[in-house]
Amino acid sequence: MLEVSGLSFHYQPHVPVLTDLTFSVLDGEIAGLLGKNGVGKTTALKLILGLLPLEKGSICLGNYSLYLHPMQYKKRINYVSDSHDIYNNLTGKEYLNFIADMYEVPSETRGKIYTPLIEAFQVEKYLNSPVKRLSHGTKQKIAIIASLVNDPLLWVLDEPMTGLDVEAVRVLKELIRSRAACGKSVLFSSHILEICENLCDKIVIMQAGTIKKTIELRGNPSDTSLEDIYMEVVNDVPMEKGFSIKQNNK
Amino acid sequence: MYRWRKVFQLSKTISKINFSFLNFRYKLKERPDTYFIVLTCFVLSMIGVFYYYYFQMLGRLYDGLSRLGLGALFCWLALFAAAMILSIAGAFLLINIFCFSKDIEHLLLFPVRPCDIFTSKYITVILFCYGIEIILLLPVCIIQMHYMGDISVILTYISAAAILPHIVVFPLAVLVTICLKIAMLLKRRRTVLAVTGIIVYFAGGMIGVLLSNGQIGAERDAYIRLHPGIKLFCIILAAVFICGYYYLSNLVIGKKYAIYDKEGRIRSKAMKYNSSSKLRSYFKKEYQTFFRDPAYVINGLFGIFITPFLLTLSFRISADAESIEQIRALVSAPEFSFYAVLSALAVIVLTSAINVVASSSFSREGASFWITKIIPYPLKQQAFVKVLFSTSISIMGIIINCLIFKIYFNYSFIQIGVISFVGILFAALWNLIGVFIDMKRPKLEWTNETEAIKQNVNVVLSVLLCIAVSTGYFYAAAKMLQNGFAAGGVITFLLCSVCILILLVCKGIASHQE
Repeated sequence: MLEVSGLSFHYQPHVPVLTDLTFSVLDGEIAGLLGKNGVGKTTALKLILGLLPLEKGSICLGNYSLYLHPMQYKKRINYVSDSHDIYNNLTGKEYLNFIADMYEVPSETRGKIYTPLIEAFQVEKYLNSPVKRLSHGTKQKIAIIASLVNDPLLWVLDEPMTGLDVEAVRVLKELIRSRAACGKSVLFSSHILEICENLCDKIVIMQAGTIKKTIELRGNPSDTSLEDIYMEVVNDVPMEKGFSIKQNNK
Repeated sequence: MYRWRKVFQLSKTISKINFSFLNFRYKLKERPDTYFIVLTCFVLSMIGVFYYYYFQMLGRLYDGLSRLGLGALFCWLALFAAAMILSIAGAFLLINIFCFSKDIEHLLLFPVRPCDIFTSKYITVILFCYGIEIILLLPVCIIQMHYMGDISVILTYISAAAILPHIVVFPLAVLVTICLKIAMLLKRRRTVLAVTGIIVYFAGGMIGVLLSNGQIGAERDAYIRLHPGIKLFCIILAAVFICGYYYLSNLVIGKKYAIYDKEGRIRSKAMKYNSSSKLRSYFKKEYQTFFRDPAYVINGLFGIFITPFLLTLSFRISADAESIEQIRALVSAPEFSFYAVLSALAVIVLTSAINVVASSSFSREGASFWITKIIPYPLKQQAFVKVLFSTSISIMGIIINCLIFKIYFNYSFIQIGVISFVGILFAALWNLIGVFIDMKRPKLEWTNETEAIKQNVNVVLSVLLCIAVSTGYFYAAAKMLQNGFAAGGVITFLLCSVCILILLVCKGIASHQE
C-alpha cells in the first residue's frame, strides 16, 4: 500500500508546485491521477519515485519509507516514463537484461517474466536493434516490459498509452488489471478519461498542487460520466451540454 | 540577396542550436545563483591566468627569435600553428555540425534548398574558426606591433586571419559534403563515411609531410612580403570561398537531400537472459552506451590519442636522427633517467587531465537519467563504476604513451613501470574529480550528444581544475628537486599526496545525498 502524506514541493522559492498532498493507493487498487496540465501530476509521480528530493511530507510503500529505506523502497517499485527515454545505444535485449541485473532478478525468473510479455507486445523481432532506431511505440513497449521484471508492489505509469497501437493498449489494460488482481498497486496519470473510467478503482483529481477530489469508482456506479465530474471539479461550474468551441470561419 | 539573407539567418539559428553556450546571455538576464557566480569567476580567472602565460610565452619566443635574427619567422610560426589548430578544430566542428547535429532533419522541412542549409553550416564553422583565431592571433599581433612599432602588421594578420579558416576548412567541407552525398546514395550512416573521409585526408597530408622531410615552409616569408593591396584582396577572397561552397554544395547535393541513419541490427546471440552482478552489468552498460555513439567516441577519445600522435610527429618533423639518438642516450643515462621519468610523467598527467569522459558521465545519461534514480543501485556506487570506466579509458591512453616512450625514446622497463603506476593513480584522481563535479550538477538537457560532452561547463571546470592541480604538482616537484630531494623522495611525495587526494574525493562522492 502506498501512503503519501503532507507532500509539499517547490522548484522556485515561494512558488509551490505541491501543497500538502495526501492520498493512498491500497493493495490491489488501480488509481488514476488526473488534472490539468501543470497542476503537479508528474512532480507528484517523480517524488513518489524518488526522482526529486523530498522536501516535506512522507512517502511509504508497505513498511518501507522512501526517506528511511530508499533501496528497499526502490526494489518494490517500478516506473514507465511518458518520454520513451531509455538507453538509446543499447539494444532492446541488452536494456531488458540491464534492468533485470539492477533488480538482481535470476536468469530463469527473468525469462519467465519477459517471454510472455515480449510475445504479448510482439516485440521479439525488434529486440536486437538499438533502441534509438525503434519507433516511439516500440520503445514504450520495451520500457513497459522492463518495468515488470521485479514484480513491483507499486507500478507507476506516466501517460502510458502515448504512442501505443490499439493492440498494445489492450495488452497494457489487461496487464494493469492482472496486476491489481494479484494484489499489486497501480498508479498512473492520464488525460484519457475513458481509459481511467474503465480501469481505475479510484480517481484522484489534482488542482493547484493539491487533491481537489478523490472518487471511488469501485462499487459506486454513477449516472454522471467521469468527464462531467472532472469538468465540474476542475472548473468549479457544472458543464453545459452541447459545449462547442466557437470558431471564426471567415 | 534574399537568398543570402536567408542563409545568414539560418547560420545564426544553426549556431544557437549547436552551441548552447551562445545562450549564456539569457542566463545573465535571470537572477544568477551563487554557484553560477562562483563558477563564472573561477573559469574567467583560470582563463585569465592561461592567457597571461600565453602572452609571456609568446613574448619570450619573439625575444629569442629576434636575438637570432629570425624575427620574421615569428609571424610565420604563429600563422602555421594557427593553421594546424584550425585544421583540427575545423574537422571537429565539421563533423559535429554536419554529421552529429540533428538540426538538418527539422531544417529540411522548411522551404529552403539543401545548399542553403549546407552553406549556413559552413558559415557557422568558419565563424567559430574566426573566434578561435582571434584568441590565438590577437596576442601575437599585439606583441609584434609592440616590439616592431609597425602598424602594417595588423593588415598582415587581419588578411591572414580572414583567409586562413577558408584555406583550411574549405577542402574539408567539400570532402564532407561529397561523403554525405555518397552516404545518401548508398543509404548508409553519414558519420562513418564523413569521418573516414576526414581521416584519409589527414593521413594523406601527414604522409606528405613525412615524405617531404622538412622541405615544407621554404617559401614561408612569401605571404608576409606581399603587397598590402593583395593582402586586402585576400579579405575579399573570404566571400568568394563562401559563394564557391554554395555553388559546389548545390552541385554535389542537388535539390533533394535525405538522411539514412537507420542501420541494421547489432549482431547478437539467440534470446538468452544471463544475469551478472550489478557492477559488471553497469560497467558493460557504460561501455556499450559510450562506444556505440560516434559523438562520444570521437570527442571523448580525441584528447587521449592525439597527444602520443603529436608527440611522435613533432619529433619526426623537428628533430633529426642524430638528436633523437641523443635523447635516447639521455633517457638511459643514470644521472638523467629520473628527469626522463618526470618529463614522461608530466606528459601523461597532462594528457589524462584533458579528460572529457569522466566529467560528462552523468550528463551523457541525458533524458534517461531517471533510470539511474529509480534502479535500486545507490548513485554513489554508480558514480564509482563510472570512475572505473573512465579510468579504463585513461589507462588506454597511458598504455599508448608508454609504448611510444618505450619504442621511440628507449625507456627502460623500470622507468615505464614507475611512469605507468604513478600515471594511473593521477588518472584515477582526475576521473574521480570529473565524476564528482558532474554528479553534483549534471547537464541533462541537450539535443545533440556533442552538447553533453563538448559544451558542458562541468567538463571545462574539471579540465581547468585538473590542470591547476597538475601545475601545483609540477611546481612542488621542481622545488623539491632544486632543494636536493632524492628521486625516491619526490616519487614518495607524489604517491602519498595523490593517494590522500583520491581518498578525499572518494569521501566526497560517498557522502553525496541522493
